Order: sequence, then C-alpha cells, then structure tokens
Amino acid sequence: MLPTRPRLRHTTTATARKKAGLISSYPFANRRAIGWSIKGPRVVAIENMKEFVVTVALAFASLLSAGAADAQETRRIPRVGFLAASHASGDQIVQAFMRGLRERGYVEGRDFVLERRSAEGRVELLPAMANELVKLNVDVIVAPPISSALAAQKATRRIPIVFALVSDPVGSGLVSSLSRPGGNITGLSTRSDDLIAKMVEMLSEAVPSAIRIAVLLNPAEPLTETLWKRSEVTARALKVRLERFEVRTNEDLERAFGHIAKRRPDALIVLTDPIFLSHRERIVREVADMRLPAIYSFGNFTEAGGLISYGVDLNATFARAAGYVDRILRGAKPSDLPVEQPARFELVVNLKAAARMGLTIPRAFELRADRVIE
Amino acid sequence: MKRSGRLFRKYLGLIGGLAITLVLTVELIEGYFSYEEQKISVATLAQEKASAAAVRIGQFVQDIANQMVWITLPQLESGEDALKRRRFEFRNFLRQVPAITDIRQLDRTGREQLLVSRLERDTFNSGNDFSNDPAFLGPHGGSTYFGPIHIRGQTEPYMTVAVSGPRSDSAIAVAEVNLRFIWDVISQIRVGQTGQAYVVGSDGRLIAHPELSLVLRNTNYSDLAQVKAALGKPTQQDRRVDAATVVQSATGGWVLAAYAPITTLGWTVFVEEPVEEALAPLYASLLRIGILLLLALALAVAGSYILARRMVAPITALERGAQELAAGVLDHRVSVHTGDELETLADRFNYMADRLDESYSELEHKVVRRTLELEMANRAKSRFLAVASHDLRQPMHALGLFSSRLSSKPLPHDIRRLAQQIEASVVALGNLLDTLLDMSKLDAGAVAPEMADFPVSDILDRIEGSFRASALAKGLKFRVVHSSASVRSDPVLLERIVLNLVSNAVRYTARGSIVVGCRRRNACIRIEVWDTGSGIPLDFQRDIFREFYQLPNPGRDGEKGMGLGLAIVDRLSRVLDHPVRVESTPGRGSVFVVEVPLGKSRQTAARADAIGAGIARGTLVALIDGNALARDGARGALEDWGCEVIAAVSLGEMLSRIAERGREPDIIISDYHLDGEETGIEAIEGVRAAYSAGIPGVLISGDTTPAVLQAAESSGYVLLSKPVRPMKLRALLSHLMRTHESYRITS
Repeated sequence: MLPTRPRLRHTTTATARKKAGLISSYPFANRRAIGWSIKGPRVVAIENMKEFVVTVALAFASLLSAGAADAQETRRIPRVGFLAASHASGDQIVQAFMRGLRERGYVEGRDFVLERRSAEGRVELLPAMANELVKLNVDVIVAPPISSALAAQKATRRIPIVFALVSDPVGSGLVSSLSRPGGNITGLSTRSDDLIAKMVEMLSEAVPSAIRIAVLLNPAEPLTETLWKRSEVTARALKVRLERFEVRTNEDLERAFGHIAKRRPDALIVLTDPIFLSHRERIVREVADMRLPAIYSFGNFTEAGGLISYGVDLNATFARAAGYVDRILRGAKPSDLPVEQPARFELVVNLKAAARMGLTIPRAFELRADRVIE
Repeated sequence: MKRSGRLFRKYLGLIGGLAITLVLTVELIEGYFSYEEQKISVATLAQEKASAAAVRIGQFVQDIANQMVWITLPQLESGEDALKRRRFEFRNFLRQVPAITDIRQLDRTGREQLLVSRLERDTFNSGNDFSNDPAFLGPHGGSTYFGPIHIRGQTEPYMTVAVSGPRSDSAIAVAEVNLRFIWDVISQIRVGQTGQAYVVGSDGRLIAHPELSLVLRNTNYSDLAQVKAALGKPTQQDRRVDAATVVQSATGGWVLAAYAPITTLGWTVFVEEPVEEALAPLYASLLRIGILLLLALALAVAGSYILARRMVAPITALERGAQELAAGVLDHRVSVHTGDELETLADRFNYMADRLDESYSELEHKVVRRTLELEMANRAKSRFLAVASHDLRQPMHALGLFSSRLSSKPLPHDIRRLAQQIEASVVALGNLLDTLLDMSKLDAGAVAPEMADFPVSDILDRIEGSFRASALAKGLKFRVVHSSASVRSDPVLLERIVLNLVSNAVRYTARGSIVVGCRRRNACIRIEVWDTGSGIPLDFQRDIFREFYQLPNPGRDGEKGMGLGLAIVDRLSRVLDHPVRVESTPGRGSVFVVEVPLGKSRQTAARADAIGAGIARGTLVALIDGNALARDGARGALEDWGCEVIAAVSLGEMLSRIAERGREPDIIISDYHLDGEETGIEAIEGVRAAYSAGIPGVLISGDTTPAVLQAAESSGYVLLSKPVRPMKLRALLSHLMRTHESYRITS
C-alpha cells in the first residue's frame, strides 16, 4: 500500500497561464491540473498516468539538452572606480571594500580592475577626479562620502554610483527615496544625523564631569548645521555647553586645535568629515596631547588611539558596498537597489587611551561598550 | 515454400508481443508507483523544509519575546533607582539582541517610564501616553503581543513586541524589533542548491528574503499564486502544512513551492526550489525506470527470438524433409529430438519416407526392366530393318546401275519402253528402300543436322519443280506462294520434311488444289501445306505420324504409300526441333504446318550446290567391290561418265591391277564389306599407302547399322549407302576431284 499522500495542490494564476505560452516547454505550464491535485482515486490515476508519460519524455529531453553546455562569452574585465575624499582612511576602507569583493568571488585583475582616485581631504579636487573616472568609462564608481558622491553624481548620470558614508542621502539630494533611489546612484547611509544625540549623551556619560564640550566640524559639509542643531538640543537636556570649532580645509586643522588648546574644553566631539578621516592620526595625537576625552563617529579613530567611537562599523559597511558593486556588475540597476540603512552601531571604548590620559571611564559606561580596546 | 519464415515471425510476434506486453505492463506500473512515491517524497521534503524554516523564524521572534520576560520581572529597587536599574538591564538587553532598536517600559496606566534606544538619548519618565496603543492593550499577565509590521525610515520593516510582566502590577516592556535581522536566519536556510526561503506577512508584504533589497523596497507578494493560495485559506486552522505546488516564482522561473505558517505571528514562510533541482530525484528515478525498461525489453526480444527459433526449428526440419521428399530425395530423413509430439511427427514422417522409398525403388526397378524390354524390342526392329534393307540394297544397287546403262544404249522402241519402265520401277523401289533406310538411320540417331541460314525459297523452288507436273497430271491446282525470308535449319532435312508433306498432299487429294506457302510468326517462319483432300478425323491426327500407319480410307490408292512419310516427318521435326502440327476438317481438307526459326541472311545452300558439275574425262577410278553385280553396275556407270575404271574384289587384287595398269588412281571407291574380314576403309588405306596419301576415297555400303556408320565417320571417308543413285555418286566424285582431297565429314 502506498503511504498516505500529502494533499498536493497546483495553483496557476491568470498571468502565469498567459506566460505559459512563452515557457510551454515546461510540461506543467500548459496543463490545467498537473496531478498535484485532490481528485477521486480513479481520475487521479489516469491523470497521473498521462502526467507520468509526459514527465518521462521530459526527463529524457532534459537529459539530452543538458549535453549542450552554454558557452561562456569572454567579456572585457569590468573596471571599478573608487573616488575617495580622504587618504589616510582610504587604505583601510579600500581594503574592507576589496575584502568584500573577494568574499563574493571577485579576483582583482581577473574579474575587476580598481581605478582609485583619492582627494586626500581636498574635496575641491573631487569633481576633476570624478570626470576622469567618467572619461575612463568605468563600470561603476564607488564614491563613499557625500562629497565624493555629489562630485560623481555631477560628473555622470549614466555610470552607476555607490556611496557608503552618506548620512542623509535623501536630504542631500542623492536619491529621491531610500526604497527607490530612482537615478544612477544608491548605497549605504550612516544615519550619523540620528546618532549625534547619542554621541553627546555617551560622551557626557563617559566623562560625567564634562560641562564644556568642543565640537570639531566642517561647516562646508551639507549636514553639519543639522547635526549642530540636534546636538545643541541634546546638550541643553543634558545641561552641557557646546562650542564649535570649524575646519574647512586641511590647513584649518592646526588653527582649530590651537583654538581648542586655548579654550581648554572638557571634552571633544569630532563629526564625520573626510578631512578628519584623513588626519585622524594627527587629530587623535593632538587630542591625547591635550588630555581631552573625545568621541568619534568611526571605529578607526579609536583604533588609531581615540577614546570613544560610536557609529557604523566601517568594515561591515564597505563589505556591503562591495555587495552593491557586485549586483551592479551583474546587471542590476542602481535605481532598483534600495539604500541600506545601518542596523548595527558599534560603541568602541579605548581603555588604553583612557589610561594614557589618566582618565577613569565609569564602569557602567565601560560595560555598555560593544568593543573595548585594552 | 517461403511460408516457413512466416511461422517464425508469427511465433516471434506472439512470444515477443507477450513478453513485451508483460515487461511494459510491469515496468510501467512499477514506474508509475515509484514516480508517485518520489513525487510524494519530493513534496514532503519541500514541506518539511518550509516547516523547518517556519520553526526557525518563529523561534527567532519567540526568543526575543522570551528574553523580554526577564526584563519585566519585578525589581528590588523602587522609584528612580528601579528605573536606573532597569535602564542598565535594557542596555544589556540591547547588546544581547541587536535586532531591537528601541525598548521602552510602560507602567500599568500606559505611561512611558523608560526609553532606551540605539539612536536617541535615553529618557526617563517622558510621560508619553501609550494607553491606547495596541502594544499596551495587547499583552496581559505574562502574555506576549506581536504587533503588525510597520516601516521605519522608509525602508526598515519593524514589528512591535510587547510583553507584560507576570504579575498584574508588572510593567510592560515594548520593543521595536528590526525585522531585517530575520535576514540572518533566512539567508542561512538552505533549500537545495539554489532554492530559497522567504517570509511574507499576513497582507502579503515581504518581511524577509535572502535578497535584502526586495525587503527594503517594501515588496508585496500578494499577487504571487502561491502566496495568494496560502493567504486565501479562510481560517488559521486550515493553514496547516499541506501543499507543495509547482508555480512561477517572482522572478518568473518555475519552482516547487511549499509553505508553512508561523501561526503566532500570522506570517507564512515559503520555500521555493527550481523544479529542475527539486524534481531531480524524480527525473533520476524515471531515467532509471527507462533504462531498466529498455534492458528488459531487449531481454524480452532476445529471449522470444531464441524461443521462437527453437520452436520453429523442428517444423522447419519437417518442412525441409517434405521438400526433399517432394524433390525426389527419398533417403532424406528428418532429425527432431524435442521429446514431444513434434518428435513423434518426425518419426511418422521418417516412417512414411521409408515406405515411400521402398515402393518407389520397387517401381523404379519395374520401369527399368520394362524399358530394357522395350529397348530390346525396338533394337530388334531396327536391326531387322537395317539388315533387310541391306540385303535388298545390293541387288537394288546393281539393278539401278544396269537399268541406267540400258536406258543409255540405243535400243529398239519397244525394248526402250520396257527399259524405261524397268528404270521407273527401280527408282520407285530405290525410293522405298531409301525411306526405310532413313527411318532406320533416324531411329539409330545417326543423323546430325547441319544448321545453316538460307532462303526458304530454295526449298520451295525445288518443291514446285518436283510436284507441279504430277499435281497437274492429277488434275489438281498447285500453287506455291514464294517468300523472301531466310530460315535457319538443315536445308536437306527440312526439304525432306516439306517434300514428304507435299507428296502426301498430292497423293491423298483427289480434286481441288494444293497450296504451299510461308507465314511469318514472330521469330519463326511457318511453312504451310494446304490441301483439299479427304481430311483427317481428330481422333487420328496423332496416329498418322506413327510408322506404317495409314488412314482407313476406302478411296485411297493403296499402291502409292507405305505409311512412312509422316513418320519420317515426325522424326525429322524432332531432330531439327521444328514443331509440326496438323489441322484438318474431314471432307474439307488439311493443313500441315512446320515452324522454322528465322535465319539471318540469304545464303545459298552449300550442299545443294555441290551437285551437278562434271567429272574430267579419263579420271582413273579404283573400284573395289566383292559383289560382281554391283561392281559391274558401278563400273558401267563410271565408264559412261568418261572415267577409266580398275575394278577388283579385294585390296590385293586391286594393287596388282593398278601395278598392271601402271598408273596411280585418281580416286578410290570401295564397298565397306569386302571378302573375308577386310573392310573398305582398309582397302582405301592400302591403296593410299601404296601410292599417294592424297587420293580421295569413297565408301559404299548396303549395311547402315550404327557400327558401320560409326566406323566410316571415324575414318573420315564419305559413306554412300546402297543403292547409290548414279547422280549422287557423280556429284560426289566431281566434288572430290575438284578439291582433290578426301571428303571429310566435318560433324
């Protein structure tokens, strides 16, 4: 006796039936009931017998057709443009990106060629570099921060662009909506604007004595004012005072630190900017020299000796950016790829740095850290 | 006879058909059930995958809810401390569960007491009122509330999970769960090689999919057939795991889809596997069945072939035996050892063949004996005829020569008349003897036709010349229709046939006319002889060709025939292979027809031409004959033709006579039978040996027995049979003298 047959059911929508004409080679396509249906035993037997015969024929046919292997066409090696605004961070970011591609089976030189342009913090160079990449007719441009992405967007409406470190892609005019970007550009947002309040809170929690907190920012960045306003709101709630120190170019940096040294704040918040990323080692060193507790947006600052960082994991972000590139190289349109928002944020605390500057991080705060550098 | 193959084919068809039908039936039934089982197992497997996926995803969400129970437990502290304590717990909880973005605690009135977020500043006692929120109204007394899916930040699917503490005064923890984290689970679910699983909410919205962008794009799958089917189930109760369907996936490919509901959440987990992959074991089993079927069929065919062969073999043997028997091979025996009815049949057959062989050999024996008797009788008759004609021949020969000589002498009128009558009688007698001689020659098989192409008119001309006068004398109209056709035949023998027929016609026709003519029929010439005689009744038309047979005709002139004419015609027609037929209406007349093949061109008959030239005067003829009469007759005739003759009775006498004469003879004529044991051949050879080997020789014999004919033929000398007609002898001599060499029979 047969085991009890699970009740099988076949469903075909009207559209599927219409499409069946195109794929009529598939036996079930143009059959009303394919036997996976509930019927009287006799009817099922006849129905199934017919189906059986059809399937036998199909099995042989598919066996024969399997012999004809489809020839892989040899195509040119795709070129991936990488438009970095900073340089010091560039290496680590690029490594993370390349690792992401490797994990997806790409081998440099065989499956892709990387065309790398780096503005080294001098954002004014980016448009020319973007045009250069467009002239090279690369297949995709990875333009991580907002300044690179905007430069690339200005340079081409054709070549797909992937951004990775943009805080508010809609607000900055890169995409029309997160779920449906619409143009030739998509990527990953950092939600730094959402996180600023959290950063203020964390800093004051890590350094409860801090009353005057300095904010290092680049007013040329489109989001800076928004961030400043949000942080002020939080500061008022937490009863701390914020002071802004502006840096527009690499050269401004020394002057800004001169000001900070003069003002002697209790703590420092460093906002996201290519200039800061490019000079993170120097910033971290200067801050340490001033024994100034500071919070940054990216883990690579704490890795370079910074005290605290809270934000997206850069490695994970660029691995995901590699995923976008992979899908674009496989034919996906950027307009169909929604902007991914970060779901994981990383709180990194560098106890070594704390010890060096003679700072004691409260135990409660230390316990919150996702990663502790000791 | 070719029917034996049919029996084999019939057996082969029968056995093979049966075997193939059996094999097909068994294999197809087997294949069908195996296919069904495979199908069920494939479907079951798909369902199990779906169920497993549903369990894992359900577990993922349930785990969050279960862990939330811990942070709703009552606390030691109270007031501010309690909240701070709780914040610590919440923060730890957020570290533990990355999927939760915010978590808040509501008091029993629905006021927010605490909010801990990954994005926002933590807040205490914000006073926000959640008392109308389903998240607050949902859970009571330790139960869990799962809210509907909602979207945050345009792309992220979120779900609110609320858990109330176990006591009635317990706080309620409300967590915002980022459902993107289900991706971690769903992307790890392996469905075959390329299959995938995805989760759809109760409204058809895609909650989780290995392709994250589909989720971020807020895809709705409620139009997909399988989703429609799954969501279309009216009640939760019916949404058991019960279906695996072949449908089109969202990307258009055909997939085997199964689904399983997560009843606590109202979601449905779908697993889809491309049909080629899902049904691969099905195809493999079909292929296996197919190969087995082919093998079994091949075996069945081979088996039935051998079986049919073995069944047919004894029958074929019997058939061949019967065929051999029919062909006369009576000692053929059938060998069949099947140990059944067929062997019995073969034994019976062999027994029958034994009996047949016996009776046949008995019969054959009788036939041989009877034939021998008949042959002996026939030979006796031939011998009698030959001897009789030989004995008659010698005096006839002499008589002919004498009467010829007599007629050529100047005689008184009345004696001349007498001499002429004697000569006529001698000629008639000679003809009669010739006929008898011919008959005996033909019976002895000593006549070999010499076929040649010649105009038929040669014969017709002579016939006309021979019979016109006698026919007119009888008061008959005689007409010969001439023809330009050539025939292929022996001119002498054919002329003899026609001559006999015309002579009969003239003889047996009292009044009316005789017509001789030719008709062309395909490759033949029909020589026809028409008469208006008394006709031959149908019953006798065969008999008239028998020797000495004469129609009982009262009006017939009995003196004129011996009844041998048609007998000779019959024998000649066989020798020449010219069919002779007769048609006759009694009282109206008869027609005799000889069919002769057409010849190639007109040629004059060589043999007919040879007659008639003269012999040089003074030719010296050596004549050896033991019979004085015959010798003197011949001598007279030869001398009449201007020859000089040396006559002798033996070789010895001849040699001495030639020596006397002192001249070498130009030609030697010798009787075959000389005195003593000497033959004519020896005599001729003797003279030639003494003088010249080039001297032509002619044999004359009254004895035409086969032995004599044989000896003459092998010696190479021409043999003339007695009585020799003077004209014939003369023609031969003139021919020999002209060629001056032995006339050799070329046959």
